[in-house]
Amino acid sequence: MTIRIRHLVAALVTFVALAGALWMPAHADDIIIKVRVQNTPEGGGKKQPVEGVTVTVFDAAGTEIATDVTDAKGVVDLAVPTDGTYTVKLDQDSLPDGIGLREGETGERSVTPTQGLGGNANFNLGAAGPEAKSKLDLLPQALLNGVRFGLVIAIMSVGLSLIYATTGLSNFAHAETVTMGAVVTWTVDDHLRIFHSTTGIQAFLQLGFTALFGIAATATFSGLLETGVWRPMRRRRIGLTSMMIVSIGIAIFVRFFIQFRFGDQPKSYREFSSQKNLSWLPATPRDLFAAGVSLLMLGGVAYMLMRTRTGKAIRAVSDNPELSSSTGINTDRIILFVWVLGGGLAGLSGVLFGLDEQVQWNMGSRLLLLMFAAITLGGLGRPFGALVGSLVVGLMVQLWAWLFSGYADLKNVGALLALILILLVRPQGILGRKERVG
Amino acid sequence: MNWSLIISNALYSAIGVNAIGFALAAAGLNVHFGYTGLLNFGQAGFLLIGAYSVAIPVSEWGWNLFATIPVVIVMATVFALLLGIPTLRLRSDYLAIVTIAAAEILRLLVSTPRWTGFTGGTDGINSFTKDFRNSVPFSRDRFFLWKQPLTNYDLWIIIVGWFLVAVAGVFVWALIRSPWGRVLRSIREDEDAARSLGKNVFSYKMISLVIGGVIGAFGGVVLAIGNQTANPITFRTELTFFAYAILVLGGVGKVRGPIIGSIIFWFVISFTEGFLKNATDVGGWKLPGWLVDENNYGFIRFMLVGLGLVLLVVFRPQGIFGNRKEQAFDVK
Repeated sequence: MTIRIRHLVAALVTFVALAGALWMPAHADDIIIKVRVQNTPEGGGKKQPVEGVTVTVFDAAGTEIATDVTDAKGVVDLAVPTDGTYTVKLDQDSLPDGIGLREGETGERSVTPTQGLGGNANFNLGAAGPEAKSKLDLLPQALLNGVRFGLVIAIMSVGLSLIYATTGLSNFAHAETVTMGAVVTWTVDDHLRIFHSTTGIQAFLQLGFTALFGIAATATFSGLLETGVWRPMRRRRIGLTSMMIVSIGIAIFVRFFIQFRFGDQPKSYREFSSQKNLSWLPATPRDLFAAGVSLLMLGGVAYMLMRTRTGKAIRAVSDNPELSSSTGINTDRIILFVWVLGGGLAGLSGVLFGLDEQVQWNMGSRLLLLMFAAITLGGLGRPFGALVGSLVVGLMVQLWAWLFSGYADLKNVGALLALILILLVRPQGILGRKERVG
Repeated sequence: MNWSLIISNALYSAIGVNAIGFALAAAGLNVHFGYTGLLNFGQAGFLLIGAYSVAIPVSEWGWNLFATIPVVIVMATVFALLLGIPTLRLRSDYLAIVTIAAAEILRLLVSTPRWTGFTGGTDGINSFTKDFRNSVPFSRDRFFLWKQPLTNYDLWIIIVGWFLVAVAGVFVWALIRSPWGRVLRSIREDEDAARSLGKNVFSYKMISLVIGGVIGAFGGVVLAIGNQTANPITFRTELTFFAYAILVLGGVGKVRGPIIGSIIFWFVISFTEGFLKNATDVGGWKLPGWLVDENNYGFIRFMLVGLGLVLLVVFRPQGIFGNRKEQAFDVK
């Protein structure tokens, strides 16, 4: 048996050790106020959820505690630290076109949540008043969301694409690497606090510090999988299809392991749970921070690929592994580097996506298809194609939600349909090489 | 620890509705992947088509349940054509990604609250099995498999289901022995060689996609009728992956592979669940609570599926019955 059981065991042990962090008991959970925003269409009919409405909760003293945006089900969970009476306020400017407050509706609810039970606030809206926003006014917001979402997907898919380029493997476990980054970071953040403030520069430092643990965990996990599983499989000349199925097995194992230890309830980072949009841009400082980090990382990867010796070696290996090996490039080391890099990027993107939405066991697997769509759109095995493809996918998803606001829960369908359509007319993807087809 | 109940429960799972549905799903995959080398990751979509093709005409338009069988075949064929035409000429991983995307699109479309009146949204469709209930031939309403009680409805769907599995098995066996099946396998081994002998590879692949898809759709029909619900939750991507695990377990490219694989798979799943449930419950011998408790034991069996899939592919890719020489695994 040429497979190196030693490495396999090492990978498993390290995985268990890293994920062992998850065994630590979580702190007392925040109390959750569940806010539901629904709309009765003009002329009556079934209530429909309203997505994308900003809801803010204030404590008795009028201090803002948390704010977030309703999801496709029209629901948003807001966390408050203690029992007490809170005010939940609906941001009227964030209501979609054609939907407004009914007569007598103030857009405010008083809620008294308790530990264990949480609290509820329901808003039922009606047809718009005259002050409703026009669709066009919401376009900048949709574009910005699209770019932001696209950048997060880009960090994940650049790694996935580099792995594909150098090894030929469509790595289904990449999604779980993303989740692992977010989950490990959340757990460390829950226990290890250097700065206690959850806003301002301290929050950035605290989150940045704990994110290092998440990134280290995913990079190590990814690297150990390469030395423990993928490299031995390549040595045994096991084909790519088998490897793809093994990656599915790993994905299933890790996904349910996370569910097993982390639970299936979504959790939020304590940092930046309440942020307001900037005056000059429909985005919060948190969003800017996330987008800035993404851009920096992508720029770094691009520079590395184009300018450094390692980058050139990566490109050589992805062009032709045998030839590059015979010119003296240590193929195995390059591939290991790519796995570690891809794993680290996935971990980082998990943290950023967790900031954007919530940390949950399936946050990565929900994005896996969009990642594949992005790298296929850009051309399989082209890292820069993955970047372009990700932005296209991100914009497509958010513009769909903007254009067909009544069908926002189907926004991923748009991106997936586009994937199928583009394969029909340009199978090699946007930046792909033609020779792959046939 | 109530061993006799755990084991009779596991035995029931091994022959129950899930085992039948997944055996058909894996048998369809076997035609795609095992005999033709097509990497279909959207089998869940075919099962969904099967389930809803029965449920919607019955609950919406009041059809007789048995009259919907042609609809199942037609809809699965249409879905296969829609998937195949853009992708079958491309490399195999394109097919994998497009099929998985298409299955997910279908699932999103039936779970959206937009058409709840038609699809039932996330609650699914629940009242369409009257005709099947009326066809139950047993007058007694309670049977036992050792200690596991089952109703006459359960027994009837199990009998009908295994009959369907047998029909599908014989059909696939005859098909693969035929000259047509030999061409199919030659495509799997070397597509270019088959093409250079003048075979229309595209049309062979297309027909294979249709046949495997229709078999899978009947798996969805059995799941829907047996569980008396057509629900989007059932048809997540995991279904396809579990069907692959079953196929690899039983042996890729063997007619009995998916059948035996499904029986073993569901026995192990149900046994593990029963054991862990007993070992985390109050009273008697217990596993330590920091390790596993009554809230999270349910995830362990699925972790085992993932681990088992990895170990099988690495150490015994031919599964239980497969033959290493003719190992239908690596698609070029």
